[in-house]
Amino acid sequence: MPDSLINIIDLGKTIENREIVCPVSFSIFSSEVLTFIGPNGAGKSTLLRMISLISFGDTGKIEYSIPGCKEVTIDFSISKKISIDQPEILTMRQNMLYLFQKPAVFSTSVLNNLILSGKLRGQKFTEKECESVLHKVGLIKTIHQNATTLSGGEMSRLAFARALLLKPKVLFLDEPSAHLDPMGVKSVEEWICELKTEYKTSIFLVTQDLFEAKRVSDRVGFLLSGQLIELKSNQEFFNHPSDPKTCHFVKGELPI
Amino acid sequence: MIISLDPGTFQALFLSLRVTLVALLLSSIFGFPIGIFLAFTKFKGKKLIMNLVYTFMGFPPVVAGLIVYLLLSRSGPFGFLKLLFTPQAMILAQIILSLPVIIGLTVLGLRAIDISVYELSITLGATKTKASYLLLREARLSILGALITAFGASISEVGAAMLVGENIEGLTRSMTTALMLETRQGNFDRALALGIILLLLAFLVNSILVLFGDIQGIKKNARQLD
Repeated sequence: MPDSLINIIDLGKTIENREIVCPVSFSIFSSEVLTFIGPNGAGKSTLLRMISLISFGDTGKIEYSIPGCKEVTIDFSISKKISIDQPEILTMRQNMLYLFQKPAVFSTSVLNNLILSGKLRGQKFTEKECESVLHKVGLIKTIHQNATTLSGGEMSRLAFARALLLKPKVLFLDEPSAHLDPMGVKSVEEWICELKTEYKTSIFLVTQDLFEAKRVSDRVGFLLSGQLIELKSNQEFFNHPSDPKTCHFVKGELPI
Repeated sequence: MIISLDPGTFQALFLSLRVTLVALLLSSIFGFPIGIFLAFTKFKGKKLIMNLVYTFMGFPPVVAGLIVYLLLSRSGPFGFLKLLFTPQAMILAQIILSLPVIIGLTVLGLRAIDISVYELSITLGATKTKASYLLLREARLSILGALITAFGASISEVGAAMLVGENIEGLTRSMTTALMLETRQGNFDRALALGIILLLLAFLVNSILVLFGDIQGIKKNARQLD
């Protein structure tokens, strides 16, 4: 069994009396691609946001043992008042990265977007380093263009440029291919592979795209109405799903 | 006259500029923080407050002048300050007019920008304060817009200036009140000249503001305010 980087224990969240994520427990291992699939409103993004410490859960705890960092346990059930600015939470966030479903950019040039991203992490990048990742993601021509004028797909590419430059220990991807053409999807999957194999990044991905999950994942989980129905290795999940709900979803049938 | 600028015109010009800029500065000091607060916090009665702010953005200058007049008149609550018919009274009236403009446009500007920049900064490892600053920077064009609008409304305003200033030569005579007087006296050439000077002044100040916005913004920026 590889080392687990993040242990999620009974993590749950309720918003306005609706249980968005029912207490779930699982682990994210080092340099693996873990994918959660599920329909709209299954709680995928909420789960991702909680683990990446952008928002907080209501119950349960998360244990982080990220290499090069102190081990940190964040217990949502005890200390109700957790601040996003707490030093240990800040350190964790600086070692992880979340790529949003709707990519966000700063209203400045593409190049400055990368430099500014590095600055926020306390990392300094030369123009050459930035140029080389922009070349890789196919944005070199837009290097001096304002990032807000990019198309949705180009913004997704810029988000990946950020990930390739910052090389986070853990990367969270929320529907990474949502805005991309087939060529873009292929590139994204190559970058995911590159981050995993070359930089030992652990990747936690959520998507509705079964085929993408099948192509890139080491392990796959099925999330439905905030509940983790099943979590198995890629092959096991698609070939021998044990839960009937997973069977339906994997076969593309509508759940009853 | 445009070229020579006689002493009277020069005084009026200087007064207009002084009243407007001081009012703009004070309105900014209070207006931007209030705008930021209103844009990002939720509380009961916020809708009502926003509605009032938007209503006051179209505040009739004469009414603002009347309120200041009543407050500062000898029998009014602040009559003892003896501020009526002084530049200070004019500044006060201008603040009543430009503060809602700055608050309202700041709120609208901050609402229009992409709030996801905040979360992007957070996931990149920024603290709350740093993320808020980066979010504000996204709204720099709206902030510039608010300043330009408030300046324009303030410098061109005549009703309140007339009421609380009384158009006293050398003391409270501004460009607009002087222009009105010249027109009434049938000196259309002088009135027209004053109008042109006023426009040139507005152009000059706005040019400075836009230039400032450009420096604040990023060079090679495709979204400059042209």
